Amino acid sequence: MKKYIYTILFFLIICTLYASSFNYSHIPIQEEGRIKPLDSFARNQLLKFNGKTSLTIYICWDDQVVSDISQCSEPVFSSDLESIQKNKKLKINAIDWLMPILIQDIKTLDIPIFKIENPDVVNVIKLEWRPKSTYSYNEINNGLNYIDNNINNPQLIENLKIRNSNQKNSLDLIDKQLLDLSQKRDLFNQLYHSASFLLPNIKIENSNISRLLQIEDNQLISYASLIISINNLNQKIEQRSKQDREKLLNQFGQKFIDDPNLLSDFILQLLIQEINFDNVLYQTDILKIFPTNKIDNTWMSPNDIIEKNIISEYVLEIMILQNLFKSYINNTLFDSSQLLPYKNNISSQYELNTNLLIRESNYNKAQLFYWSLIFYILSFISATILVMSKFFNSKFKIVPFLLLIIGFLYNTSGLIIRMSILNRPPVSTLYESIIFVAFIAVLLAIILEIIRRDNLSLLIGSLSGIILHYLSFGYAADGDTFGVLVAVLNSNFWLATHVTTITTGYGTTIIASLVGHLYLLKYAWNPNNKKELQSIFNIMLATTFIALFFTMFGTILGGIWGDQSWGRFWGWDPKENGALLIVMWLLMMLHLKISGWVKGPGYALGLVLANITVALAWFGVNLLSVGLHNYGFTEGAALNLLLFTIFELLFGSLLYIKIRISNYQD
Amino acid sequence: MKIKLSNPKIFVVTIIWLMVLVFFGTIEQKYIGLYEAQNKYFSSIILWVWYFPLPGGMLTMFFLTINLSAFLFKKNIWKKTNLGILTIHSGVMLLLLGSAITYFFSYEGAMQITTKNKNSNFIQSYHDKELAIINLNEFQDSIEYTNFSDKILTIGNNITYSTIPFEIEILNYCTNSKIYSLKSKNELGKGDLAISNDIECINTEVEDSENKSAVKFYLKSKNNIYKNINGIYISRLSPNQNIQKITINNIEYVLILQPKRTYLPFTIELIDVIKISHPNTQIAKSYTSEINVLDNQQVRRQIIEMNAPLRYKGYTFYQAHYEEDQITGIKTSVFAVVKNYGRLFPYISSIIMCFGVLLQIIVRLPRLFKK
Repeated sequence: MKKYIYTILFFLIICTLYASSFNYSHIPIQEEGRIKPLDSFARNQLLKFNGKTSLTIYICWDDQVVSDISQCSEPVFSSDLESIQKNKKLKINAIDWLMPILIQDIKTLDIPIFKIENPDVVNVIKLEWRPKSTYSYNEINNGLNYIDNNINNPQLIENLKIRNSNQKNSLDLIDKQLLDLSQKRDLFNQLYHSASFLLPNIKIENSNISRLLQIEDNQLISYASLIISINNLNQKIEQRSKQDREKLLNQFGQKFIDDPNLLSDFILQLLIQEINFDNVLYQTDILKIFPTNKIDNTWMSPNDIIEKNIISEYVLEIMILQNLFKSYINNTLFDSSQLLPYKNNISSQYELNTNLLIRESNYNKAQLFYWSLIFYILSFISATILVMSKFFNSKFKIVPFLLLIIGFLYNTSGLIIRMSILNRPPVSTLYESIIFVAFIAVLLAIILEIIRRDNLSLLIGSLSGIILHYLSFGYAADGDTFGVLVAVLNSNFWLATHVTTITTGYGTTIIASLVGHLYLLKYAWNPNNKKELQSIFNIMLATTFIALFFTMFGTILGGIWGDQSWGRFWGWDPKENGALLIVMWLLMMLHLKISGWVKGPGYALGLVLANITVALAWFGVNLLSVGLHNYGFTEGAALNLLLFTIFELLFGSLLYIKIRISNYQD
Repeated sequence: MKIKLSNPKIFVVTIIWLMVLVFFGTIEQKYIGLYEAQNKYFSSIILWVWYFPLPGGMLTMFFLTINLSAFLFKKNIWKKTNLGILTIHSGVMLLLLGSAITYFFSYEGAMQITTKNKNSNFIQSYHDKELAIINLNEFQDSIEYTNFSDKILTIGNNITYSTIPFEIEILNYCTNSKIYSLKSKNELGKGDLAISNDIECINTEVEDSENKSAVKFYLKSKNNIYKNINGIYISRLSPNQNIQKITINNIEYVLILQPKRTYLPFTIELIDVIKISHPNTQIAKSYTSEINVLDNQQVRRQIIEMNAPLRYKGYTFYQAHYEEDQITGIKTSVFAVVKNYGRLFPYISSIIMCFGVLLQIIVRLPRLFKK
């Protein structure tokens, strides 16, 4: 019966990820070297501005858009008090945030998305500090223009750019953040104009020209379709019969027959005189949405295809995208089936796997790791209640186990889906390694629980899962978690063996260490239950062996990878030394036990401290290459590392001392 | 109390000391660079902390090896029940042995070839330097080199060789140097640099490759025949080094301080080197060098890529670096070249250790998991 439940659960989780058809959020786009659905692109952009992948805003009764409800102004007349209730909270997906920007909806300029962490920066650009500290493009733009225009240094931002490119780390914190802010402003500007060639914002007043180009009078058309119409006209002229050509000759002169392009150039010139292109001619290549044949090639932005004059290759895509934008502009419903030819074309002509795009978008939406975190937390709470209370041996015992299994399934399916999208083992970046270690730690805890059935392993497993998941979210906020890899990491076999083994080693060491925590706690509170203590001690020993196995071979495999890749087995590199430190620590613990220098509590203390070596090897070495003047997240990481080390030291040593004192008193 | 060499307590103490070394050696890399830290902590016999001698990494590992071998030769240790433990320990032993062989006998360097000068048959050491004296006219079509390793470029040392008609007295040698101009001309000075400049030793850089080594020497004609060449010369390692040329008896000699060269019994010819980036980014996806191995009139075409080195006659060539000059379009490919006699040890020992740990786990784990 139970087996059936597990299988059904597993399939439920997996199936939800496939149940979706191709819609506009799956349109492929190239960003940072990778082809991804528009949905991921939107999330990455929003992440850069806001630090989150979805946007929460409030629309006040007077249509003002604010980031916090407290910012809504109060009505002037008391009779309007009811209107306060009209204040609305809105949660906007990244893609629904991006689309209005792409169609140049002027309202988007007033939506607060720019997050500023530092109150000083807010003061510099003459804004008011407010809760949630998010500001709109207009506010930021005015603020930055204000310093550029009114403060002594007329071109502060330009100056900062030059200083930054000349010498890194020469800027102080506020300068850096100002520069960062101005870059975000530029990014927003680029996004705002990136699709302008595809937007219907050209009006042709001259009815002769519009008739010639077969455009209805007074209809707005986009720059791209204008070019397409002109190309069509050219083709028609070429196809004309000789008689017609002669007629044309009489009409326009010999020159136009010899060079068909002349006519289109002529029309273009006329157009340019008539039409205001200001909104169109902002050149930006951020929206690389038009595929090219070779996978390694750069994709094209609307700007690219017009510059390179290859617009005719993308007529189908342009038309469909235009319809999409049009329906957004007119606020009409866009029928996803219109995208079918688009999908068929990109999958047949450019050999793109649209299923991967849909899968990635679904993965984004599913937030699998949030769900696994929630179930780990539930499992931890229920396991704690059970262990503490009298229900310990009741039929409820299965509850925390099931919860942990569900969380684990979410965790696992997240990993599997990532692997299937990226086509590489799930341990190539720091973020991925954290998720993977959580997976390993929980897996080991589940195995321990199946063997021992005492709910203690559940505590350990869920706790490590919670901490690691929480940690991973910090790294996810850094940007796209599906980053591309540098050349030396771009070899699947050695990644698969070395990195997987060593991260498994981290996970198993963490579990061994947590068993050590448990032993100390049990010993300090209930030293007389010798039988239970002995059995926990045995698990400590067993997990130490497993941890030693994985860390040792992970380290040696790393050496072999080094030998294969750049010719030296061992180079005393910080990362290598970190791994070696864990191995040596575990070896030391085993030999301390053999030599009789430590007994149970001492051994447990050593394992508690093994966690510190893992933290140092995993995160600590990354801080080494970082200069003294780095702020932001790395500084936070250093602080967290320090706090963690202090906590483990205090936890281990205090409990150990307590045990020794009570032993002495006996 | 008698402590046996195989006592695990010795192991505990040495491994703790090794951890201390690794920890501080890693941290200090940030300040003194990998190469210096390696020399100071890991491959040293004595670690000097101010004037206080402590055992260095090499000595500590030597103790470990003694402890380990004593364990393997212990009486009554070779029993069936100890099989897992013994296998693991002999694997570790083999690993230590291999690393010793690698450390003492292997050598490594870089081979730099550009698409302009195409051929190379030597590798340059990363750290060792040499003073080369090149006889340009010895034989019309070949060049004679006389090289002095930086090990003998110590102050006051007199060096010479039978084929060169002069002696060299080393006045100063700096691993990293600064050049400064003299207020008045040095009357003994010869060559472009030495006439109005002098060198001063400064602290070494974190990256050893950024060190600008320099040597200042007094050159004296043998038996004082050609007095006009006598004088002080300076050779300094820098991207645009001033080459010292002297002419004796119509023979031109060039004196140059350069990274130590080791010549190979074959030549590598670079056909092309290509960098492929991830689209739209500066992140390299792959580097690929297309080369010919020229050996005794024989030509063999080869491709060297990241993670796919060329192995030839005991040497291994790894794609290490790539550069492209934006103006001239000349591309440079740098290979890391290694000749390592201890290469196979880690592979074999890891298999042995893996086997041993599995054995141990199979024997012991089920008992430990029992309630």
